Amino acid sequence: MPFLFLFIWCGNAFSDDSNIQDIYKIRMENRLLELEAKAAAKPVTYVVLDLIRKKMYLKIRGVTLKEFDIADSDTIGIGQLDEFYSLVTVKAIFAPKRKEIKPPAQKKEEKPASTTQEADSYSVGDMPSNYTLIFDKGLSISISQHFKGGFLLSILNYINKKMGKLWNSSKLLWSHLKKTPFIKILVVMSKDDAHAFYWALPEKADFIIIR
Amino acid sequence: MNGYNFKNNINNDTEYQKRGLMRRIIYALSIFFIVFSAINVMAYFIQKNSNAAVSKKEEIGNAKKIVNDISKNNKKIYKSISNLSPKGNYIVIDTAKNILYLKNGDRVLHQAVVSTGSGRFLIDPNKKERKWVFDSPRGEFKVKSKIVEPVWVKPDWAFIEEGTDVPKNYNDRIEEGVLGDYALGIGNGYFIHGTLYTRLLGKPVTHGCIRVGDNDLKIIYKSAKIGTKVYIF
Repeated sequence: MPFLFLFIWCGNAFSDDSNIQDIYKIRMENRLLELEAKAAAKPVTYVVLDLIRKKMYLKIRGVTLKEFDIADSDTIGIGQLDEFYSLVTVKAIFAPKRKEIKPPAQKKEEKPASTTQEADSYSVGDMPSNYTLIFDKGLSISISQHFKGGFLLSILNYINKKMGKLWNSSKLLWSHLKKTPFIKILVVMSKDDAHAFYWALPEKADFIIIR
Repeated sequence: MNGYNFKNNINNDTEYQKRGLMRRIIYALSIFFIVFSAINVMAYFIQKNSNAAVSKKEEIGNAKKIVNDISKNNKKIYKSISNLSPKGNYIVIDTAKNILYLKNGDRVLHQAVVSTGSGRFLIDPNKKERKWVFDSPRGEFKVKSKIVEPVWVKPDWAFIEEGTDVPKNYNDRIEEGVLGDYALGIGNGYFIHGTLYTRLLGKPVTHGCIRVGDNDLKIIYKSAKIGTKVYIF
């Protein structure tokens, strides 16, 4: 008999827990849909970072313009990430610089052969593959390149990840002591995707994060 | 014998130094590992406690009703997002790859290699405050005009870039035959048009307009109507 009570109690406890999970999941889904409905109402591109499916979507009006694969990700920090995050700035060590067109010094009577610049254009390959997106509300997303190749490069990926984790865990402790918000998402992408995402990134873009 | 001892002493010294160095490396690695683990464990508990606090706030009673209500609401929101997406054909331009897609829903009807903005800039040598950045615009646009045999009304920057005087007469700005057979205006002086420089298709070389090859342009022109949505990213 006591076992039966114990069994019923355990059953109730687990079902309560699963109800909590269901409510939590569906509320989260509701919150994310509300956020997307607000973002899609504006005629500008927004980003949905889905850490569960390991995808990053560039969207407008609910239409997916481009999909980026995430090789690896990690989240360090406190918070639910259930609101809009507006991009404030992008920090990169090797930020690309625009090139200036130098008009000919002397006035020409004849038209030049072409007004088109064939070289020195500002292309996607000039974009950095390691950079940090700084948002409001204490969120930052660090994008880094996934090294593809042999055993040595996989060690490099591992060291890169662990060092990033150590650095950001230290920052989390410091923020916890200072009582300031801190959430850091580490995203590892292929080199081409990291370049293309930097290129496509709209200024002051809204980000929705699913995790 | 002495020689042997002397050599042996050197070996012992270097061995001692090596061992000392190894010991220091092991100490340093151990300290690093302990600090690394301690920081990660503390960070883990800070995150865990904060997330647990949020879960406890959820109500357990009337769980099914709550789930049903929210599900219905979610369906409504999902429908409202779907209604925002374009009806009929629309154009998507990927400026990173220099590719234009003519789409309907999720289906790609046609794909074309194009040229988009070079991202370079030009400063007027006579008025330094006048600056042009030659990016293709990003975001949502719609086809506002459809033109057959368009002519180019050259803006000031085209003359400045060439190093010639900006004409005062409007007619001196007109150049025929450089924009191809068709042009689709998307606002603010930006067009999807043809090009004489087909060998540069696929490269970002324009002043912001979208250049398309003749055959592709014909298909896009025929498929697009006034009001067709254009998304550029």
